Amino acid sequence: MIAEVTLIEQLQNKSTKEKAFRALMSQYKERLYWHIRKIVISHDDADDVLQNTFIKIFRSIDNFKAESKLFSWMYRIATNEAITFINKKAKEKNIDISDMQQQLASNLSSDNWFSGDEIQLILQKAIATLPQKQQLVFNMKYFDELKYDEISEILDTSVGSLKASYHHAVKKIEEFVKNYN
Amino acid sequence: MKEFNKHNKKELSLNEIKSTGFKTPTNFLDSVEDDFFTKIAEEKLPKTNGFEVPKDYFNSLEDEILKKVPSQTKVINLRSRLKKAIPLAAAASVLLFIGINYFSVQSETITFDDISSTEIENWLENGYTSINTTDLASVLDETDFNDNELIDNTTIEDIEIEDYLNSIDASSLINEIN
Repeated sequence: MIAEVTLIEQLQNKSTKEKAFRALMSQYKERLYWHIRKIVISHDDADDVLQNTFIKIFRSIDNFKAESKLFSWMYRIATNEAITFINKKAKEKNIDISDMQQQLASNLSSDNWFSGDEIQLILQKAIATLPQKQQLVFNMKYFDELKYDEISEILDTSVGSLKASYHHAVKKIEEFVKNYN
Repeated sequence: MKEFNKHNKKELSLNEIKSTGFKTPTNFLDSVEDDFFTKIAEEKLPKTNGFEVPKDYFNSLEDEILKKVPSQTKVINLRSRLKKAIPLAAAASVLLFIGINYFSVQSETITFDDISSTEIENWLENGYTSINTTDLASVLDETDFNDNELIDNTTIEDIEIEDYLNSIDASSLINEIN
């Protein structure tokens, strides 16, 4: 793995950009994919959003000023692309984004790329009922196992606030699961 | 005890130590309960989310994405010259259209008037006028960019313009604006 400073230099140099970008994609594609997938739910949509994310990264890397870590910056782009995507989808269907997400979760049982059992399905439905920020914090902490400091840099939110969000999220999920059926 | 301390001021007696000197992060103790109940709840949840990906999906990603990013070669000078050629390209493509029509309907002589505006619209809409700038560069040369030539050959009398404007069906213009 190349040191971040070196990778950035190579990405911002036209003669080494393509090779460095390949290395970047290789290193981060899976993490970004799974982050996006948890927001958009469908694999095909996640694929579209992931590709758009990398294209955006390719176009904006010259302006990256290393005020945050490269990873945080990319994760933030991925988050914005994914949320914009489902917002657009909700608008097209003329429904609330929360309704959109709950619909997506409900359709998982017939999704070819979902092999979860009943409890995993209920968990997705529970997550879909949470406010957007709590969903993000929950997924990043519980499934991606990111540290609060990392999440703080990505979402530009204080650690204290994130912890509170996470506690609320888990509590609501617990209630939802308990009351299901 | 007191006498001993007079001579050895650095020595501390246990009676004098009031605090340990240890500190905790701000609000740490407030969150202990929340942390505890959250951990208990987490343990009841599944560890994975059940999402799958198609086999080999990640293997072909880099190549697919690199096809879609802009290429790195600089073609600045040629690009600004080619921009001037766009009106010529538009005219050329319409003439080409006429030419093709001419060859396919040999008994008639086709002029601009014979082509309905709908046909031209369809031609433009179907993208037949999109010309690759590299292809264009290969057929055009310096003389094609001579602006004077264009000006000399297109002197239109005012009366010709008026006649033209009078002949247009006003409704088709209004449709275009809308």
